[in-house]
Amino acid sequence: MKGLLRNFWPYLAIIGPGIITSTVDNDASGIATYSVAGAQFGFSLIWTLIPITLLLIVIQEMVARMAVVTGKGLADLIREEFGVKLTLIILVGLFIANLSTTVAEFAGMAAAGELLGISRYIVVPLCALIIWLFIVRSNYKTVEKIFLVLILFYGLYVISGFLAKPDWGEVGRQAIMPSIKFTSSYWFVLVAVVGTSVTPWMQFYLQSSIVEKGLKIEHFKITRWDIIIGSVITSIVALFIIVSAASAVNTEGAVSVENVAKALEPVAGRFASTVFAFGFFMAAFLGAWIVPLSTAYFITEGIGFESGINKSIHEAPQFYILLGTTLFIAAGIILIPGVPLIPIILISQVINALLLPIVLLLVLILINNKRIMKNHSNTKLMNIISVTVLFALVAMGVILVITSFGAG
Amino acid sequence: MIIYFSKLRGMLIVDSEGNNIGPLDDVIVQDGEKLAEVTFLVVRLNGMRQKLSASYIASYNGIIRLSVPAKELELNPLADKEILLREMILDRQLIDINGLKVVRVNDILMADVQGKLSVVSVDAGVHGFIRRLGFSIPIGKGTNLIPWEYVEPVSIDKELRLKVPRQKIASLHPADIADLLEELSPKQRANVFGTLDVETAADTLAESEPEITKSVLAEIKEKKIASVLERMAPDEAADVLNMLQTAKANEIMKLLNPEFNQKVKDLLQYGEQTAGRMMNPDIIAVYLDNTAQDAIEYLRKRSPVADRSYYVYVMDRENKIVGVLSLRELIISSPEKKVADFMKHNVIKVLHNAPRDEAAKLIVKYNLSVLPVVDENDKLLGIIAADDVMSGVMPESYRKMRPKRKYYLRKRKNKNGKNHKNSA
Repeated sequence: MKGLLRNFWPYLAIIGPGIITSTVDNDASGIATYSVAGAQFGFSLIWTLIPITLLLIVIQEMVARMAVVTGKGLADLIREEFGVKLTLIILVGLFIANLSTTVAEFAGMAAAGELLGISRYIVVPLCALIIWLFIVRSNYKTVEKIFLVLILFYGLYVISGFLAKPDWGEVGRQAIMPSIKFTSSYWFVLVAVVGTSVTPWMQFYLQSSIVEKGLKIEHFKITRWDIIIGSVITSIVALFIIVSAASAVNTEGAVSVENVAKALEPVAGRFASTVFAFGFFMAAFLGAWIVPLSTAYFITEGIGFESGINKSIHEAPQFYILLGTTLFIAAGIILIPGVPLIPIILISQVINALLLPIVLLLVLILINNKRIMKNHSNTKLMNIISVTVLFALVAMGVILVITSFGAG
Repeated sequence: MIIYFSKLRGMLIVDSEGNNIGPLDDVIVQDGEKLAEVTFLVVRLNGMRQKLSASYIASYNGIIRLSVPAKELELNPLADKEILLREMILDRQLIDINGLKVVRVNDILMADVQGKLSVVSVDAGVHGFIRRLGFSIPIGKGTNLIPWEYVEPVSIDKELRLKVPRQKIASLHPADIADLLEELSPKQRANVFGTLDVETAADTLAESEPEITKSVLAEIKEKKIASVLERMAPDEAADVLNMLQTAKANEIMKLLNPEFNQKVKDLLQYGEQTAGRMMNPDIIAVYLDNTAQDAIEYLRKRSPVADRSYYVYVMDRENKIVGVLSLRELIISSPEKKVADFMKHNVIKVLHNAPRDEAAKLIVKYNLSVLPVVDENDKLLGIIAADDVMSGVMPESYRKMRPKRKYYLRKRKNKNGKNHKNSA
């Protein structure tokens, strides 16, 4: 992870880890899930964005606090405090979750590519290859720019949201006084929206990027704002995607990002539709690049394998094997003819939703350890809030599993 | 007898009469140059960690048997500033001095050395990890045992480590230390950098990439930075100061000795990408009517400062550069000969406000090792050495590439006669 962020960092330092993490967070599965939420349930899921924002702030604040106090990544702390067995379980969980996330990213690229008129059999292998070359040739400069372009694209989502001319009064009403539906599909999508907004991978990523930036407890006030702003941005982008989708499509049936983008055309014009599709593609591409790479870093560093893109395949075989497997298995699955894309994205969220409470539990144990956290461990209030959050997440995980198996 | 810490930890401790005392929780070691001797065993009694001297150990075959009965044991609470293997070494990262990389301690190999249980090496390999999961694996290809002699813990705080002044890292080439710093997190970097002596610290900073320099300096006190900067060439020091925030840079410059401070200030007047900005103002120049003897004596006097002086420049009375002498020419000429009589007249030089690239091109084209920098009146201001422009003209990807062989490293002798996989 260090190698990754070192090359990456100077360019992005201005933006701040919290805001960047939130950008990465709105990846292909995020956009897909928000689209589905808007298309199927109109504005009636918008209210969830308020608790989600709070959830993001609570969890990320703890993770960031650990980063500034200990100067260590989450994987490092888990390894040092809980030993090899638990580390292995978490890392295997993270690998599976991130493999499925990567599959979802490629699914996103395939869908977006087809929307823009390019076959998935061209888009997916080409992108996998480009990403592999980026990583091996360690040419980050380009990717940094892609990152910044992507942030601009989120601005375009906001535009496409406005172009769709939604009834803003209704949006506001639904945010405060939601018309909650008590159907299983409503709750399934609700849990999926939460699951895609708060992922285990993000917590690892955020903590490492703060550590790598060398932030100290003196900076924490600023970091806290960075996280709050980042979390709000995540939710605002989500809001506009839901709004665009809701204005374009309104159906109780199965929908996909393609449907949404296509339906946007008559409502908001061809430009909005193309923006939607292209933003989706970029988000997926970046996700497919950064998720496997940082996963390979977390795992190799946690176990103690050689890692880093400045090492050759001979020097750091496990690192490249992890990277290669994630990338090419993910791309391969998408190339299987007739493979359904949206269920794949949803499965990846089930896995993430199951891992998240475990990671959060470990975070809670770590952050209450006075030896590690000195006098910056959790206050009672923070513990009450986060334990409540933990129970809510466990409950959601259970709902998600039950409904997805029920649906499947 | 050798034993892995993973096997030792958790072993039941019994006294000489066979009474259970409790499972081994941790051990305290006394760090030494080659080994770390186990001085105390730590057990958890009534929820409290207590230590007992390792000299009580009679045997540790399956169970740890002590040589005295429980009632004669002296148990003490843990003191501050003790190195605990489980808490501070196992599962943590440390630096493998020979392999020049950061590794994670998967297991620790201990042995009886002259009757004392000691840490001999750490296992950073996959096998160590698998062993920890509870599978037993013989020593083989996946074993990466690094002798204790060649490791440097990075997360143990400074005071603890000062007990044994380790010169392990400082014995490496500064360029290698700079590479190692890149592999560490900012906190670890500051930790490691703090252990270096000023001289090594200065050379290391000069070799580091700007981002690394910045992150190291962010953690270090102004006074220490100033003393490190004074050991650097003025142009390098100016580069470093330029990376810092103005307030911090000014603070540091106040702490520099006045002469050095002036040199740095003068350099900072030049534009960022100019030849003047990257020159070293410490030069050796003599006048036309000086003799070879004069020049050599002057060189001797000045050489501690001007350590890049492979050439002596010749000026006229108006301080205009008119000629150059190599050290070789100076030495072989007869002492009383005037420098004007054997100097080279066409001096390739560069104007102070010329771009850096220009200086690099001149150096490459005319195969120079040193290029003098002059002002509009041909007055000599400083010199640019070939290696100073190298890093500017080489692409970063090339600079970052590591040489295949580490020619300068001592070869580590493993017990089974194999060299470490990365040193060959």
